[in-house]
Amino acid sequence: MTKQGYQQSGSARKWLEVERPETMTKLAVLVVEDNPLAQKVLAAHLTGHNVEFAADLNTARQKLSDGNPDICFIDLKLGDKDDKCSGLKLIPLAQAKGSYCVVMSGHGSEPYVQKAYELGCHDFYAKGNEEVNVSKVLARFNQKRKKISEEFLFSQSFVTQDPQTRALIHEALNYAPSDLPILILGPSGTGKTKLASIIHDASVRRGEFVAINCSAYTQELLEAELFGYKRGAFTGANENRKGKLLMANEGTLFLDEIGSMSLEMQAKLLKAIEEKSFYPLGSERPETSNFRIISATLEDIQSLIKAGKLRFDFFQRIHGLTIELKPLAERKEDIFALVDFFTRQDKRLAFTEDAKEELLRHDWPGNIRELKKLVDLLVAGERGRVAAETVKKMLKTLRLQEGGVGFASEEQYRFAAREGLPQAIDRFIDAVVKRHLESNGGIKTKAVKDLRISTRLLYQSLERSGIPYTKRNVNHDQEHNTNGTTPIPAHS
Amino acid sequence: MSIMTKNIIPTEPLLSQLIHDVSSQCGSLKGAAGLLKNASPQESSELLGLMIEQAQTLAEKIVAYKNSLNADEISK
Repeated sequence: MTKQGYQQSGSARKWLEVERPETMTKLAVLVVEDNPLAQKVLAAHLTGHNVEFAADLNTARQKLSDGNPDICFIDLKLGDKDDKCSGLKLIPLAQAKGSYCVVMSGHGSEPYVQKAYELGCHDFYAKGNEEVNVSKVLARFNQKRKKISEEFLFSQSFVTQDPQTRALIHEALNYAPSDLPILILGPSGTGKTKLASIIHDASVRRGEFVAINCSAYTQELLEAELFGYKRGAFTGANENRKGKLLMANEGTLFLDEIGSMSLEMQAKLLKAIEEKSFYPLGSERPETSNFRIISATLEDIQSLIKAGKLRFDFFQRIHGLTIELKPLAERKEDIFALVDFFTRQDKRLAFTEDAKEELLRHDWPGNIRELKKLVDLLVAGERGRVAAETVKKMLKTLRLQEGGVGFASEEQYRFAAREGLPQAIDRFIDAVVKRHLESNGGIKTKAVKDLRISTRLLYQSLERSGIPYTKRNVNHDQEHNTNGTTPIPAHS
Repeated sequence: MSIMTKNIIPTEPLLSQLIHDVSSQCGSLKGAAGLLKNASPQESSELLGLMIEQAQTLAEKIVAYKNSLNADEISK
């Protein structure tokens, strides 16, 4: 029997459900039925669920007040002398508890059934065929809950209207209850951490979600953060410290920016993943930890492997499923849904038509993070409808803030500082070439013309990126340079 | 016919009630009969006891309704 997950703690997680076709979540059920034989019959068809019974109105009220049933089966007529169908009084109470309310009745109660629907009951069946009716009710309940949970997921948790992104997230959630390692790819600010957290929540792992950004540490500090250390293990280790691997025991370890991890660190982590055991720095006693790995990077994985920056055996261990999130520029229908989501507890923003066009025209290099910052600026400062000029001004402000050194983003600067400027230039060239090709049907001559580069530079980039091509006569292009451009000088 | 006799007509609600009770309780009997097939001896014994009780209750209700019809006939 495959595993399934259903989180009940906390309203933010309650909706999460991953259901396997061959199993059903255990439900809390309240059956309000005065007839002992009918109670027995229902109990038999609700095997596997937590079922409570109430034979009269007062007991039912008490149980509703004390409990939190997922489904309430309510017999309208409680007792021989109950000609007013007192079961109706329970419907608003069940509704208030968020229970799926099912009314049961014999024939001749049509007016009361109508009343039950008016009071908010969700379902009804005529008594007499419980074997069929109860399973149909449970199926309808699960379908309704799945629909609600999906709406919640994509409107409150990972806000997106893009069908492809939704499909990817569904796929990821299918694997959430398993221990399969997941690799999330995508540019900075596209929601990789958020997705990892959602997968963890859907996983029924009882441990914590522990995240670490590998690019934020030197390799020595990264090792200490991951494995923990004993007091005195190194200068500055003034106390014992639990590492992230141990903190993630029975939970999920999220490794962000995995591409920035050194090969040596990858080897150590690989050993810990395989053996589920490791030594904190300065300790002679091993620790064990059963964690599930989710990792993420904005870099091109194949390029990292080709460049020898990512060990293939390590890569094999961290990717069972790979999910690639699209940049915001490729799912612009999400922009206004995200604006609404970000302002749901604040004042709402109204945009002029020009301002909306400006938002749609923008490339969003910072993706959702950039949009959030823009919304924060606008909410803090603007009154009335936001005009296009304001949007342009705010976007420029954000670019300067993010850029730090102007043209280079924070990310680019950090990469250059770590790997060297020549590597950073190569990476920038590869990213621009790849994006241009993807946006222009892979036409290389167009890339050469639009980007004003030599074919030699193009082919060097394609080779680094692992993009297949048919080599033209490079010499011919170099000599004649018919595209009228100046090749970018080669560097070592 | 006595001047003092009330003209008692079997009321619609009584009949509706009877129809409801018969359909509801027959439904339970049918459901319970279906469970007997796979029930353990102890469960069978318990189910049968409840089924007999239910059938008896039904029979009493039908008799009560019949009596109310007869009373109506007499009063006419």
